[in-house]
Amino acid sequence: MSRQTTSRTVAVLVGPPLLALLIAALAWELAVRWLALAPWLLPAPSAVLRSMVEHRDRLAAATLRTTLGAGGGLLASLVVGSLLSLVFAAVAPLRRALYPWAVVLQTVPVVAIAPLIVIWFGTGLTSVILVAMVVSLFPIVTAGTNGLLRVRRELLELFAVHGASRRQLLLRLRLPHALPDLVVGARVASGLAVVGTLFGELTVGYGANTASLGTVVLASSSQLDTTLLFGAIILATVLGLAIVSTVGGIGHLILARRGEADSAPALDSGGLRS
Amino acid sequence: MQRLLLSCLVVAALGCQRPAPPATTEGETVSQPIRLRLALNWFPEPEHGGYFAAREAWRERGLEVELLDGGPGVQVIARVASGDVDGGVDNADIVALGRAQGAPVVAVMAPLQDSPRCIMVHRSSGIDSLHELADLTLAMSPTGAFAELLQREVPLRGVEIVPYPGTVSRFLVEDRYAQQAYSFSEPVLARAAGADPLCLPLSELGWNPYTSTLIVSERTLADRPQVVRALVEGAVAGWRAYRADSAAADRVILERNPGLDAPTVAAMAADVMQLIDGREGAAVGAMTAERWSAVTETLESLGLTEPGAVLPEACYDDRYLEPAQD
Repeated sequence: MSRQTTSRTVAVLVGPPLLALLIAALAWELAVRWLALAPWLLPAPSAVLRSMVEHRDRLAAATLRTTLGAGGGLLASLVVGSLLSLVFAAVAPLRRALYPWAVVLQTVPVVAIAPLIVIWFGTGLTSVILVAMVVSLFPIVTAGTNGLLRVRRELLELFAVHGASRRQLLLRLRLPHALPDLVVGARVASGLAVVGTLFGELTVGYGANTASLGTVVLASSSQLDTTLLFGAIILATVLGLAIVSTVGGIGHLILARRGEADSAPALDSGGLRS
Repeated sequence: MQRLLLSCLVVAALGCQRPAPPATTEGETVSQPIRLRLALNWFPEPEHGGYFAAREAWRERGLEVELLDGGPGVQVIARVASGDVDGGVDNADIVALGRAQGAPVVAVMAPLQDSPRCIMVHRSSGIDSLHELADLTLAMSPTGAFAELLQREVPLRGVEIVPYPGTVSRFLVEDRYAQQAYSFSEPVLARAAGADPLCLPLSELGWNPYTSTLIVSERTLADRPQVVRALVEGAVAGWRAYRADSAAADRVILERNPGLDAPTVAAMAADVMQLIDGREGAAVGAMTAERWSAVTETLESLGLTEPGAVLPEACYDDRYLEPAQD
């Protein structure tokens, strides 16, 4: 693909949404001015931007802290979720015994377990990461377990014919097959991690002296400072987009590399002999 | 047209809640029962006791007033300003902050003359002043001007600030633990659980906004003066009745807030009584420009409002309050 074609593709992908955003912001600005709406009800986009500039230090610190929480939560859910998936895929009795409980646990509202997290782990970044992990864990467990188990029967038979060990079966067959599912799970989890982080910041996070997007939301809404509230919402959205895009990009790279690997003779029988 | 579109936006923003009653004209009288809805800023507690005791007084004045429970995150000022409810109950600093954001709301009576806002510590800690807060955990959320003020005025050396948990459970098990509180709420709960708490009032730092003020919108005040008069007079009568005997209203509070028990409500009510008269011995509901100025000046000094953005005299209207002492 030439550089010109790539630029055109990017323009086609990014252009229309950006144009729609600009038109919406312009309409919003004009509507607020024409209707003379009070800022507590609906601030103009220009006022929101001014507020964001005015509070830039606080918002920058808040965004950084929320990024830490969301990044930490996502990383934790990736590690824990992948490990659980591996266990579920490898040990059928455990899967049959515990997987239904994993489904049940997913339905427990986080708001109900937040007080327990405070009792057991206190408040602060660790607890925020824990909440983010709890919220974002399940898609990875589900996607990972499904991906690891959903391998074509003929491939399993082929590995068996070649005398593959369980370890080889897992590393050379199941794991590569589960990668696309894991990537999808991670993408879903990345969005949830940001949501979980904000929720965690509101419930198990920080006191009055620590800036996070959650505390900015709490403080600005209690002071009816809707303008700053919009600023925090915008930053939370941008953060969510950034994390989802980053995870999506990394997943794309991993899958692309796997695609190259697939084109090579992956089922080299010599490699399967232990 | 603009008003119609604004109404649509407000209705959409508030989740299509029940529409506000139609606006009435200046000629409206209170000879027929008029249904009003007041939004409380928290779950029913003795801090709203006089409003629960005012039902009869309001009926005598032709009003049928429904008190709507509040709770965490409730936006009383927004609901009053948008016309979603006819009035509300919130604190003076919240009124001033709302006005700074363009919300046209006015306080028309202030039943609790002194703010119950305090920092609760263990008496055994030896701390008996806010300036002595050091080397402990302080549960304090970033939701109030008082938190900003405390951090500005007190060094808070060695103090770890954590979120306010909404309960006293951790206070009960940790000696070096303090938390934001209302003098008639958390300390009562802590005492009931066997602790010996001490309340350090924020008024020590000059923070003493009126509490549980009755709020209406500027529009209601202008368009329905007789209704507001009846509302204020009934509320004052209710708070007087509550001060004389809180038992009946406390029973209603207990029914509406099952999280409380009778002894706790009685203890809370006893503390609330101390705040109705205030240290200045003012008439029930009275407000002064000086007290409102103190609030607006503090908010300005904290950078929470722009200088001159909130005029103290615009925050309140005492035309329906009795000037005489009780």
